[in-house]
Amino acid sequence: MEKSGIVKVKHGRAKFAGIILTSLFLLFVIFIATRQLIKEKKMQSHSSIKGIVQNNAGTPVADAVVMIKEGSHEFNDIASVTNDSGEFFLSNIFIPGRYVIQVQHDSGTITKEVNLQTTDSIIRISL
Amino acid sequence: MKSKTMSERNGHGSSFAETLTETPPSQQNLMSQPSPYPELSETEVEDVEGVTILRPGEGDKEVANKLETESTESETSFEESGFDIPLIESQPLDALYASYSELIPKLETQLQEVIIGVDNRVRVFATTSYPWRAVCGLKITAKDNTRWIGTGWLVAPRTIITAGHCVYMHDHGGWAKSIEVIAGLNDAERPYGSCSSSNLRSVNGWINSKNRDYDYGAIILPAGCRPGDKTGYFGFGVKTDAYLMSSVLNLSGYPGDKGGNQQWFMALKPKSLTSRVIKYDIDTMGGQSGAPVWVKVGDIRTCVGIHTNGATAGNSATRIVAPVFNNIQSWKSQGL
Repeated sequence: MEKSGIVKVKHGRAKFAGIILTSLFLLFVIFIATRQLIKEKKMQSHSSIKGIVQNNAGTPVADAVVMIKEGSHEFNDIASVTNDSGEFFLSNIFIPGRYVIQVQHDSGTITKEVNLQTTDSIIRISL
Repeated sequence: MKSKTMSERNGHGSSFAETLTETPPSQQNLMSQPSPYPELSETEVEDVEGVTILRPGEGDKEVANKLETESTESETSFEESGFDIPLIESQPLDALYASYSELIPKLETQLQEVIIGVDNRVRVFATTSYPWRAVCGLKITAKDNTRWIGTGWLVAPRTIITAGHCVYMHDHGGWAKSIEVIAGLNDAERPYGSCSSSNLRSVNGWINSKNRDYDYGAIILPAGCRPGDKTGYFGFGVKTDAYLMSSVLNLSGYPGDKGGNQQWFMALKPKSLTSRVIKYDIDTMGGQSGAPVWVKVGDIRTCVGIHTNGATAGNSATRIVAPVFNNIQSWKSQGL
């Protein structure tokens, strides 16, 4: 009887330990999954992407009007104007995504398709 | 002299409007009357008395970049403000079709899909005629000194309605540093001059949540700058789903692919609606954000949306619903 009692206690402890281990494992899985979701969420976001317009000689083109013509996601219908460094921005666009960008300048019009994967992408366009 | 007052409500929900008519100026509350949805060929101006709506949600709570601005949380009833602008002339939309007869078939049938590569917009040359002169090109300088092009439309002598993302740019410092407003811009011509302002308005749902449904805002020009006195201005109103789906939507703005200094127009029936968004296949490009989307019945022009987004599945406007109407009306009162 005494031995049987010890076995029961040991069996109970083992069962308890099993539950604890299973719980810890589940918590670990949830933690990893949550981290992954957060990571993916960070990668998929609305961001402002920088770009540069240059001429064939590599000189920055100022006062060019840059806009999105088409996109794999909805986008704001606002146009960016390049500064003296030829810089423009695509504001509030969904990343990752594919976009067709149109540049309008006195020297002509050009369209370029870009596949933006990360928020730190920089678009380079030559007129 | 033209004045406004038109409102309507039908059995499917509130519907009220603030539009231009030939009636004398008046101060009166709006009330809608039960009525069937009007056909576009008809012109209805409902008797107006007054209307009460529920307090709008937090998303439409106004946010201003000027702390001294008075609160404009909507009241529980609508009050129609006076309209006392001597319009120089009035040219109905039909005049455009006289010049561009190719538009007429497009008004009669709705295109089923966006046809990429075909541009159905037409240029508006008569930007000193109403309503085109009440459409404004916007030259936006963000807080970080980046420069942008947008569109707006006058609802008062000094109030311009536009997209929220034209006045508040989350990734570029928040409130725009300055916005130059040019009514009736036509290449190098600025028939009504231009004014700059940093007195801006938008709402909580856009500023704090960047929610597309709340993408609208306003520019209040300085006291000495009143382009609306010379141009007249748009009416605006809330329309039911059935009314909108049976209406031709007009959209005119300053697209960047044309340089951002020319006004371009197109009209089509809407493609679909949600409670807060109107989708259509009207061709637009970057620079037309903030453009008016309006319905014309006779000489009455009622803005029903603010163009904001492009998309392959359909371009779209923030729909003017009751809380949006309340805010626009409040912003209008700040620019009288």
